Amino acid sequence: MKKLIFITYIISSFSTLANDTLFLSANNDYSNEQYSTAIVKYESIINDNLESPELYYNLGNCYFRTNEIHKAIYYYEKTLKHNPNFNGAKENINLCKEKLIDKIDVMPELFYKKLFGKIKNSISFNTWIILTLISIWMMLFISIYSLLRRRRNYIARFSLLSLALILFCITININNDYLNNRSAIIYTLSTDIMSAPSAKSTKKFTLHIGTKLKINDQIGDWVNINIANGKKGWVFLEDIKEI
Amino acid sequence: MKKILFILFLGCCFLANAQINFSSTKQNSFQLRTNKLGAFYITKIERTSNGKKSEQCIINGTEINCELISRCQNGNCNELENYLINNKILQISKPINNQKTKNTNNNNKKVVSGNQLFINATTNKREIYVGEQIIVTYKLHTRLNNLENYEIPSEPNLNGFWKKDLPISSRFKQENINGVTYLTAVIKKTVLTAQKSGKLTIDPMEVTCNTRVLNQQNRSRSWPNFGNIYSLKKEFISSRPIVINVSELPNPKPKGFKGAVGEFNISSNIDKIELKANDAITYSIKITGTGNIELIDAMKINFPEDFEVYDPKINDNIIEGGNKRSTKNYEFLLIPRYEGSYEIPSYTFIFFNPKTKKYITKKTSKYNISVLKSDNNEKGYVPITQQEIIESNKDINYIKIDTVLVKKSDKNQNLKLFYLLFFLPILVIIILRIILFFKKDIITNILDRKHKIANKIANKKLRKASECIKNKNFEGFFEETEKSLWGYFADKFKVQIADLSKESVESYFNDNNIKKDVEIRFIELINHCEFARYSPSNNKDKQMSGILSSAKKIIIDVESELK
Repeated sequence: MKKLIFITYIISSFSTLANDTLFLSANNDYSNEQYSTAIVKYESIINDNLESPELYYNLGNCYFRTNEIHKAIYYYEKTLKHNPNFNGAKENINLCKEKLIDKIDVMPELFYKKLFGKIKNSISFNTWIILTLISIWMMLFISIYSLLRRRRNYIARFSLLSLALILFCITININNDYLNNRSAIIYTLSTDIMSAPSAKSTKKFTLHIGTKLKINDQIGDWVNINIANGKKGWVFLEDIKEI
Repeated sequence: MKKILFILFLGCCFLANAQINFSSTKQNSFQLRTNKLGAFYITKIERTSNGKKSEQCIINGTEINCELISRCQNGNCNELENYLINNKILQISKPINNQKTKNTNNNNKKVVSGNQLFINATTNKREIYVGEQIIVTYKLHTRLNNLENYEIPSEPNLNGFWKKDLPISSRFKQENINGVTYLTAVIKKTVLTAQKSGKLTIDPMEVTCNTRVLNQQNRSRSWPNFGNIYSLKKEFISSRPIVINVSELPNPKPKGFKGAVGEFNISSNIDKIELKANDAITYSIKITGTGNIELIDAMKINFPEDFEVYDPKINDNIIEGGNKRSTKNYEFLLIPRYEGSYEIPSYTFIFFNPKTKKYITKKTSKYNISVLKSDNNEKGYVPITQQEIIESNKDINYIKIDTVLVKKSDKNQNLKLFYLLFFLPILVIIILRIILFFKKDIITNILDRKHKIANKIANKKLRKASECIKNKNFEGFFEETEKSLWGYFADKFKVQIADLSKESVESYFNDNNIKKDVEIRFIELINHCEFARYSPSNNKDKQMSGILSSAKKIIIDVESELK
């Protein structure tokens, strides 16, 4: 059994190794302006069930170069989903947005939400997990120590416990964001946003390729979305691609 | 087929204002009418005066040689025909309809027919590219001789075109169209530049014409008659719409193409290439050619950053909206602020030639400019306001070279581990608390064991001293206590007997982090023992047990401190 695990580990590490070299050769293609071959290579890495923010980012760049702006935005958004602090992707998205047909004024966020968002994004999700675990385990050790040495240490124990709980809440919140904040990119040239989940309902407005949508709900083939300026509606599932 | 008719008119009397004029003329009129030639009159007047016979031939009011007519009478009419055409007496015309133009005068009852007054809109091209130019000419045609004036109430709607009106001379000219003579006047001439592709329609132009009409009521009254009184009658006419097929410029459009269509030439000129700092250079770019030159934007040239560049002065000489060879001259004033050698890059001008259907790139020449040190300002130019660095061309960030590829993981699995690791310590603490609640002693016992060991050691060391108490050997007791304390100290800290002193106690105690209080008590106790040994005292009995217990305590304390 142990051998089997070992062998699978070796094989999987080989496959990552092969994909690493594939990644590098795709980078080379990109710098030689052979964007389509680079795209094929990057995509094959993704099909191998591997991912990284940089991989998505580079693929987004390729699509930008081949003038497929909607795909570029899709992959940049995917990059940001994995690493919200990826500044290169943020800047590139802003450039892409200038090329889109739809211009949407983003609703300003409430200041405390903005602040909270900044705090959440200041370090990565894994760091939040590690910090939470460190604080709770420290609490445990201090408690045991206090018991053995007959010291009270109430302040230290209480503060560590509360810190751990706060960190835990933040971590859970980030995770919920990741799971619940589903968004999508319009992949067809133009799509109508309807007032109800049916093709017969009245058309509210039209959106064009590359626009980002936030998914709220889904009924059958229809998805309830809202766009950055707060407008809501229903869009046909096949017109969009979820990030 | 030609027919010749002779009409003879004889005599005519005019009676006016009760005055009688009598005149007698003998006229021989020939009317030549052919199917081909239309209508004209030949008048042949034969006169006999003083016995001489003279002939005079008049055709449509012009005197001609009678010989030609006599030849024509004999069947040879070609010469006559040519003569008439050459002298503009006869116009070859095919009557379009049978309407006679005889009564066009005073004809106020008749509706002006399309043949007599109309506008013709013509373009020089029908198939063009976006940005290409066409000329639309609106021509007023009339066969009326009572046309007073005309006016254009509204400009035609030109969707998708950029238009420029050209100056026109609105003088009437004679023009022959399909054999019918018209008076024509160009009333509007516009250069249109197509701005978008597709089938664009030039809307019809409407013109209001005023014709002079003799007032019928006044005329019918024979008395009094103050001459002819005219009124103006309005006629509305409009041209036909024209559909222009505008095709998109072929793709791919080269980078830097800004929509210039036509045939151009570009040249640049600079007035000096060597100068001192803070002097001015005049750099000019001249575009000549035909096309939509008027729509060429101000050009952007990447001048060196240390040059102060002023907005270009644009002089243009555009003829017929660029339809004829025009020029556009951009004059830049440049002031280099620092010494050094600079390069004015060449400007690339790309245009589409609709004739060859190709994009053509033309470049101006490069100039190398050497700027010398300025005379008056040693330090050079010091800008008052600091310049901001402006990113001229935005582009995406470059790709990332390194990455750590990871398996697309199920985030939930990681999260389960996280929950486990988070709640485990909490659980452990809770369990510990519960255990302690029920079995408080366990921990105390663990802690007490050490205490017990320390107690044992103390008892062992002080055994002799406690024996002395039993024997009531007072001197021996103090001696033993002191000795055993020193012995304990020496054993514990591995001190040589010779080194034993109160100072060394302090240093060793300090080194092992033993509380100051214990140290003080230790020294006090030893002092006390020494003192008690040599001093007579009555209540040594009572002291002994106290000293023993305090010695014990000191040893226990030291033991627990040292662990």
